[in-house]
Amino acid sequence: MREWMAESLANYQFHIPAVVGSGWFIWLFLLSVFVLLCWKNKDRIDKNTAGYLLILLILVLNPFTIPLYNKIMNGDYWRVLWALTVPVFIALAFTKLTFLIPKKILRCLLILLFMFIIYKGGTFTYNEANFTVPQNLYKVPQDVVEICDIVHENVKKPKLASPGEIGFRVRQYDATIISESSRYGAGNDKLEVLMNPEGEYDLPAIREKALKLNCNCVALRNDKLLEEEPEGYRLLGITGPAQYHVYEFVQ
Amino acid sequence: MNTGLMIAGIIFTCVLIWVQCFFSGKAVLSVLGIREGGWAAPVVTGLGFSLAVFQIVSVPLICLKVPTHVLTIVAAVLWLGSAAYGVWRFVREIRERKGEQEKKRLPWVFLLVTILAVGSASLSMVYEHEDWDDAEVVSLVTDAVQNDQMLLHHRELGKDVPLSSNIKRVVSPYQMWEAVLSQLSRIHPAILCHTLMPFFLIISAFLVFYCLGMEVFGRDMEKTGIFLLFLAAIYLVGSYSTRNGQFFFLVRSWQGKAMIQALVVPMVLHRLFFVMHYSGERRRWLLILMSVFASCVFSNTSFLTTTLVVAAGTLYIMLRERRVSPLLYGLLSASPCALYGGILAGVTLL
Repeated sequence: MREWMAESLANYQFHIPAVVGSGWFIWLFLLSVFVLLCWKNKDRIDKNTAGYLLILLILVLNPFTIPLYNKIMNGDYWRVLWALTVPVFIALAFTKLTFLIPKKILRCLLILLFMFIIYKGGTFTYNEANFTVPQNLYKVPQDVVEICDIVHENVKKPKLASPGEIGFRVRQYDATIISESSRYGAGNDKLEVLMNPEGEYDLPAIREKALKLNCNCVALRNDKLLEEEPEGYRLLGITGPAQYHVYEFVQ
Repeated sequence: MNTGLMIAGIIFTCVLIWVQCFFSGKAVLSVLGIREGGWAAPVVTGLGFSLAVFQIVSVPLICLKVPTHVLTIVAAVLWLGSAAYGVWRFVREIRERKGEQEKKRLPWVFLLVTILAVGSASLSMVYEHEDWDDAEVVSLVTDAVQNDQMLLHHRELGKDVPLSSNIKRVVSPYQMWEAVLSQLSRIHPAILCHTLMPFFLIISAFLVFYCLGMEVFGRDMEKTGIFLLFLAAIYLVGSYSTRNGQFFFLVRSWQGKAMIQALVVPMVLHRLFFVMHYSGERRRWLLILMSVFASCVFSNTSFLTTTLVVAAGTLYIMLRERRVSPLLYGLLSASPCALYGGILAGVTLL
């Protein structure tokens, strides 16, 4: 029992701060819970909201069940917290508080105040850390699009070896190409190391390893290439933005 | 293709999907004999119905390893069939109601809410976000569309895999829903996922919030408007953590799990409040059952979250009415989560 409770405590300590992050929303949520549960209006709708919320809180944050939830979710208990629908209940409580005031002007001021609190309590979602300007309509890097088009036009049954930043995105654009180096690819560590060297590429080693893995084409970064058409490689094309060289292996 | 034309095409496709959902929703509501005013409730009901139908037919078809286009045809026939029935019922309803309709004035706050909701959806549609999960999610959709094979195929090595290795995707076939939409709209899967889905899902989520607000505030438009305004603002500033539902909703909308907090749970919650306010009407539980089926499409996470939400609502109704029968209805409503969760656990353990 003691171990079970310790596990629950550890889950609280890890998962709740992960969801709460740097915002004030946990406090706004607690305030909302207080407002909704202590609402004096005896209206049936308010009772329903309060009753449901109270039972949901007991079910989701229950220390006796948290380790079980965590096990079911493969260690991602924080996703269970989404069941609380925090934004819905904060908005609900703020709306109820707003309509406590009968005068329209004062109500508008209160809405502005709440909007200000919400604004200060969080972080604007559309910022540079979350979003970038896309290079094309597909919203995959333009190099990936161009590499895929070159390979698709020139190679039959293509299996592509490429650096990780290209490999894991290839099949978002063209799933007829098999990509060796990607998140769910074979994940050959040796080839991965060869494709991401500190200095220049070891081209004979890359060719040997890639052929062993049945790859018939390769995309290589321009800045790590010493010569444009090395032995055993046939240049198929060069991409625009980052200038990847796309080769087919030849005998 | 011209960017403007493509975006216009995407919005046109979204509208077509909403129109289908509206008429399917009308069909469902009229079959159940439930009258809900306005157009948002039928759209939300129709979306739930379309997803529920998709969940029911897609899981066995994926297990049978049929090509993607077969699922597309089956889903399209079912969706269009229900929509056609909805059109027929809608025309009849209009004839019966002639002269009855009264027009309500929409409070000014709805203009602000529309600007915020459409603005959020447009920004998520126009700008790009990428992460590791995205590579997997979109690759699965592209694979299903371009190679005409669903999930039980190793997406990188190009060979079949056993059911157990991808069962979590099979029981929540959200990517296949996107693949079906891609095949129907003829839009490239990457464009569909990254551009169409954020717009469609964000606006759909606000429709669900609208229905929820109308239910909670007893059809008071002004209160619902203010409620939506606060919600829109809360979602816009939800980037204070990368693990909260608000962040997922606007940043990673096209990935199934992103919709759990903003669309799936509120959809179930809307129907739960619907039951709470009109207790004693058993057929309303069918709408919860439908929403729970729909929730299973999005992610395995919804098996547990939806069950908890239904359990909380059911327990409350049970305690309020001091009867055991709501427990039975609650259990039946949450049964899809138990069914698919059981399949997931069983296949994984075996």
